[in-house]
Amino acid sequence: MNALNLLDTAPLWAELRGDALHVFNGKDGAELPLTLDADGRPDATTRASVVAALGRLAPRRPWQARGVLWCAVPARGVVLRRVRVPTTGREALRSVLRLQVEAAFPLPPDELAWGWFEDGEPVIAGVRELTIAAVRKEPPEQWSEVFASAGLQTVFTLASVARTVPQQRGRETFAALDLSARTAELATFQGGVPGSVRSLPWTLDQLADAAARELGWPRTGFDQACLSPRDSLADPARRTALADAWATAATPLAEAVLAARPGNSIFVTGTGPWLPLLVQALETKLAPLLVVTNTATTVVLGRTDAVAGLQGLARQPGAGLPLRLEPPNTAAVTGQGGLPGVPWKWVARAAALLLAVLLFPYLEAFVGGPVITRRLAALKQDRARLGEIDRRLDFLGHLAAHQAPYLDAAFVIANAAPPGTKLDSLTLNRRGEVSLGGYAQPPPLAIEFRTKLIDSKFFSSVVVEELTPVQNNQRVNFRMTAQWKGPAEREALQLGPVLPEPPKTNAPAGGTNAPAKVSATNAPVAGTNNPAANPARPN
Amino acid sequence: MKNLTPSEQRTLRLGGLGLAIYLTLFFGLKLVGGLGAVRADYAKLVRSAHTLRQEIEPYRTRADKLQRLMERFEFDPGKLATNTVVGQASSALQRAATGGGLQLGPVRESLARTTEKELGTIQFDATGPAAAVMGFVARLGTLGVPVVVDSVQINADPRGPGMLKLHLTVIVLDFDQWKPREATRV
Repeated sequence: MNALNLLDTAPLWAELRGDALHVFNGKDGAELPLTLDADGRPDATTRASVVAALGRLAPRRPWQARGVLWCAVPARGVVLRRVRVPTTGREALRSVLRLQVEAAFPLPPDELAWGWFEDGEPVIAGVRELTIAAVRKEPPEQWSEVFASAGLQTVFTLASVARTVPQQRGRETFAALDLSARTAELATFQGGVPGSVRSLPWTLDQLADAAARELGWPRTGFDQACLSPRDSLADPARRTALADAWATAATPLAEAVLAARPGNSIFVTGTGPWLPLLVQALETKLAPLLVVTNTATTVVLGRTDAVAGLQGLARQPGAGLPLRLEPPNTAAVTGQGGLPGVPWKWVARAAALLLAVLLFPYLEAFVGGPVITRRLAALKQDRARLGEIDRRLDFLGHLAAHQAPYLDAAFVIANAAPPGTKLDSLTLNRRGEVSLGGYAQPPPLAIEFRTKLIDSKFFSSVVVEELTPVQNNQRVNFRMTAQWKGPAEREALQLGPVLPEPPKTNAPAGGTNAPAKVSATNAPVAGTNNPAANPARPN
Repeated sequence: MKNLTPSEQRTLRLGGLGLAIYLTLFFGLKLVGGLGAVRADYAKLVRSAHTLRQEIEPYRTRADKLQRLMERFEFDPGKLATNTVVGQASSALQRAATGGGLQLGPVRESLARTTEKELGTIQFDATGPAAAVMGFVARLGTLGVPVVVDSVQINADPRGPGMLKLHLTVIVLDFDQWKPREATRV
C-alpha cells in the first residue's frame, strides 16, 4: 500500500465462462450466474446482480479514479489470423493492422473487437509476423456497458491466453484444454502465441453422461463414484471399469486434441468433480504426450485459472497483457495488467515540470552566473573609457561654442548695404566686435545703412564712430563699430537664403541642383552668394 | 558468517533506513543551503550589473553627440599629437587657401598664452576674389585640426575690383589641457 493506492480503485479480475461470470479482487470472489435475453444481452436481473457484486468487491471512494476490470472472454466466436506487417511504432502499427483486419476478416474492423499479440518476431528485416485475434464487438460492448455502470473500465482478453500465462515462460509449443460442466476449449500455442483456438462440443457434463452410459450406471451413483473412487468403489474391478469408461468417453476428445497438433504437452484446466478421472483417461489416450494439470486443491470462489493468470500478470513487474481485445470507439486503458489507472506518463511530466520550476532559479544562477560575470567585466572595462568620452566631448563642445558667426555677420552686412555704398574694410573677431569702414554716395545712404544694420536684429549695437563728408558733400566716408548678439538670440533669426523644398517623390527634380535662391531685396556685396559660404552658419 | 535472525534483520533494516534518512536530510540541507548561497550571489551580481548599466546608459547619448561633433569637425581629438598639431593646422590652412584660389601672403606663428588652453596662434594674409575669401572662411571649421578663428579682417585690394585682402588670426587648441575625468555617477 502506498499513497498512490489511495487514489486508485482496486483492480478486479474476471472471466466470462459459459453461463457464469467469475470475479475476484485478490481476496474475495464471486460466481455470478448469467441470464441472457433473446439477443444475447444480459437481462436486467443479471445486470443488477453483477453491478451489486462488483460494487461490493471493488468499492470506490469519491476521490478515487475508476478501477479497471480485466476480463477474460471465452473462445467462442474468436478468430485468429497471422499477418505480416512492416516494423512500425505502436500507433502506426494499429493503423496498419486495421487494414489487415479489413482484409483478413469477414467483418469490417468497426464490427469487431480485436487485438494482436505483441511478441511477433521479425521474419525478415523490417517485417514482423503478428497474430490478430478478433471477435464480434457486441458481447464485449454489452459487458463493457454493464461494468461501466459499476464504475469500472474494462480490458478484454482471451481466457485461453490468460489461463496459460504460467505455461508460457519457456515459450514451448503446447496445447491448452479447458473443461467445465458447460464449456470446453482447446487452444494450441507455438512460441507463446496461439496458433488456433476453438470451442469443443465435449463438455465435462457430456463426457460424464457418456461414461455413465458406457457403464450402465445411473448418473447419481456415477457422480458419487467419481468424487471419491477409492471410498465408493471398494472393488478394484469396478474402479478399473470406471477408468475404462472414462477412457472410452474421452476417445473423441483425445482424437480432437491430437488432430490439433498439440506439440509436446497439453495443459488441462477446468472445474468439476470428474476432472481428475478425465485427466487420467487423457494421459492414457494421449501418451506419450505430457498432460499437465493444475494441482491446486483449494478452490477459491471466483478465482478460475484464467482469473489466476490475469492476477499473476498483475504481480509481475513489467509483465504486459499478451492480448487486448478492444471494441471500436472505446478509450484505451493504460497499464500493464497490474495497477493501471495512474497515468504515469503525465505524473512523470508533472513531476518533471514541478522539478524544473523549483530548480530553475538555481539553474539560472549556475548557467547565467558566468555570462553575467563576463558581461559585467566588459561593462567595467567600458566604464574606464567613459572619462575619455567626456574629455573629448568637452573639447569638441568648447571648439563648437567658440566658432564665431563670421559668415552670418558678412551676410547681414552685405544685405544691409544699400546700392551706392562701398566697404573698404571689415574686421570681425570672435568676441563679436565688428568694425567696418567705407563711403556712401549720396551721404544719406550711410545713415540708411546703419538703420538697416540695426533692423537686421543681428547686432545689439551699431555705432557710427566717424562720418566725414567729402567732395562737396557728394559722398561721405564713414567708420562704424557693432556688436553682434548672443548665440540664443542669433539662433532665432532667419538668416541666409531660403532653400528650395526637397522633392516629394523619387523622381529626379529638375531644379534641385540649381543654385540656392538668393534674397531678391539686396544683392550681397561680400560674396555671400557663394554656395560654399551660404549653408555654413557656425554657432 | 553468522545467519541473522528475522529480528536482527529487521533491526538492521530500520537502522539502515534511519541512517539513510539522516544522511539525506544532512546532505540535502547542505545542498539546499549551498544552492541558496549561489542564488544569492547571482542576485547580487545581477543587481550590480543593473546598477552599472544604469550608469553607462546616458553615455549612449554622449557618444552619439561626440560622434556627430567629430564628423562635423572631421577629426578625432584622441588622435591629435600635441607636438605636430600646430604644423598640421598651418599646413591645412595654407592648403585650404591655395586650394580655394587665394594667393598666400606672410604666415606668422606665435607661442601659446599659458592662461588659455591653446598651443599657439597663426596669423596669415591672403588675397583673392570675394567668393574665394568667403569660401575659405566657411571651410575653416572643417580643416581637420582644432582651430578657432580669433579674428578676420577683410580689406579691399587695390589691385582690382572684387579683389579682397584677408588677414586671419586663428588659435590652435591644446587637447592635452582638457583633463580626463571620472565617469559621471548617475
